[in-house]
Amino acid sequence: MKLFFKGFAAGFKEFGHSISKTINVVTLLFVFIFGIGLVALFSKVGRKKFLPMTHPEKDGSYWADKASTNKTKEESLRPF
Amino acid sequence: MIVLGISAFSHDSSAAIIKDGELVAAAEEERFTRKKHDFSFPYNAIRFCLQKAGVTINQVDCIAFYEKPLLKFERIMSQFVYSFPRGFTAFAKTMPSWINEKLHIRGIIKRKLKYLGNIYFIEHHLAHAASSYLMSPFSESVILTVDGVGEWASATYGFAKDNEIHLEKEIRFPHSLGLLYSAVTGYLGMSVNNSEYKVMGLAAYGKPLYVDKFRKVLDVKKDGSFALDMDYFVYHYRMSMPSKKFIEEFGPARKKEEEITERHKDIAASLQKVVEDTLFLIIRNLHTKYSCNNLCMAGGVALNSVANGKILKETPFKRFFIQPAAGDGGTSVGAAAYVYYSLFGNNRSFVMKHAYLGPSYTDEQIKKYLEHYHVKYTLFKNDNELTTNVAKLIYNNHVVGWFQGRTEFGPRALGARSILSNPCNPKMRGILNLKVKHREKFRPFAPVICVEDIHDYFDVDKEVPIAADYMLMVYPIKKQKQKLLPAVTHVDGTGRLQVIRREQNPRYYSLIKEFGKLSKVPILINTSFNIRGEPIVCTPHDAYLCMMGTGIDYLVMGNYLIKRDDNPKHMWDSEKYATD
Repeated sequence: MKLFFKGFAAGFKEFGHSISKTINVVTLLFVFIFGIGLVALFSKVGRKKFLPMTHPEKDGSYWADKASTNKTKEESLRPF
Repeated sequence: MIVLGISAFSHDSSAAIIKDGELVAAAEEERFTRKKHDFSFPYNAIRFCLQKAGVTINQVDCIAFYEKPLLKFERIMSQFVYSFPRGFTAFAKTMPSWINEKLHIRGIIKRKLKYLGNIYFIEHHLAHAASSYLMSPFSESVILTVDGVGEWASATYGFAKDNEIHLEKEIRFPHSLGLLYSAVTGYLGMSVNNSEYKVMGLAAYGKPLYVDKFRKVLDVKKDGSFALDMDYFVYHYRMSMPSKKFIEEFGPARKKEEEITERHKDIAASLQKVVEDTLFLIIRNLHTKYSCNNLCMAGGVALNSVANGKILKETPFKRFFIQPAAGDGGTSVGAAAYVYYSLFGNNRSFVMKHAYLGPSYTDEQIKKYLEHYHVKYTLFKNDNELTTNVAKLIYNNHVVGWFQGRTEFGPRALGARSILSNPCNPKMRGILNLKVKHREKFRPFAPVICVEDIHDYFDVDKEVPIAADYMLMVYPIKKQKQKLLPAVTHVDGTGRLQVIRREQNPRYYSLIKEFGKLSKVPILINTSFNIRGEPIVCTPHDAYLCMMGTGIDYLVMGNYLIKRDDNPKHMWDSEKYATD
């Protein structure tokens, strides 16, 4: 009897995991298509490149200026 | 003033604490949880740091986090937008942890630690830079950081003077020397973010026949700045790394258990050559630009000890410094140090002179453990008796587990949690692999030598950098000495040595000297005290378990000597648990 209930509980737990995984995937797919997809579409229309696949070159160098976001204590309190 | 540094949710979570200018404690979470490269919130490491500093969380003035999470999130979202409609698998895998944890780091820290003070977010590469420069003995230095990727940057350089660090330039994702190395590591069938050092070891067996092909992949300018041809990679939208084009160019990728062929060795050698050449070019240019003879390096690429060993020869720099946890684990130290010294302007007084910053166990605690588990042991009365006897055991080709004092901070075992054995025995590499480590045959074992003996055995720089104390430098072993050291001489005649100074670890130092009296060679094999795929041992229980599951003959914990054969009842087979 004890074994039966133990197995029953484990099965339910697994079922719960599968359900939450499925909901997660469906939600993420929705966000991916309508969130990321739309931004990607507009960026293509507006010719905005989000990733420098070809590294911008300046004066024969790939080094880019680094703007620090940690110059002051206030800036450093921000997570961005 | 007390600052707690935290690194979490990427890989190698860690914590560090600076109290009144001194780095009191630092530890990686993996040592406590026993999960290699553990990326979870470093609760255990934080608790240890607070205990060691003798403070509660309420006494901590501020917390420093090792990156700007929202900048990193921006980069990750940019990857998905750029790659759309590809990349859903990676999106589905990464987003839950961002939504649940990484976007709420301030809240998580405050909630988990019940902390009410300020939390400072320090850019990833700035934390790397600070972890090196602010721990170094230099009052001014050029700084170079190179790793996989932080928020956006994958490499930065700049200059530091007194408390000020100014990172001037950067290379931005997806162009990355670290990710190139990781991509090839994955291509060669080894685990990414873990086995890069194996590729470095493998490189010595090959010839750099693929350099021209790598030049197509990596464009390097005269000043050393670089960009990748991203047609060869897919890591910006997939969990794997090299693309079909890379495989067309270099041949099929190696599967995990597949035999390593000459082609694999040549690819590793070519990669190492290209990475070294690029690094040296950058470093030479930095010397010209800043006219300063001190160099501080950090980031995962700074763990490339083969390249490090050549820096002073190949570039005009006279001195350089790398701290023992140069990878992401060390950023907790860097973030804390940056807040303490640079943001708050406190005077610099601390220099990192050793890596023994983790937890330790007293003889009383060890005895309590041994007696609780009915372990048979011998107690040594003093240091002299201990070192003389243990040196004899090693001289007689026994493998000894060495558990002494505080654990090391960083990926290398440096004589606190080490396995020691006889480097003069030509069979010792095989014995160690068979009995304990179960690791790939091509990987060399490392020697440890006392500082004053180093010039007798190694072709080192005139002034040996402190990085050699942390096993971060590979140097050639003198030709006439290579025959004396068959177990630690790599195929190319080099050794990844650890230099030890008496003041760092007197007992370890004396042991090496005692062994030298017996063998006429004051060098030991020092390898990490763990089985393959496990973190280095931390507690007496970890050490005892490791000994009993492997073929380690003796374990020296504090003043206690435990012989494996006297305690046969806890046998288990470590090979079952060994992973990559």
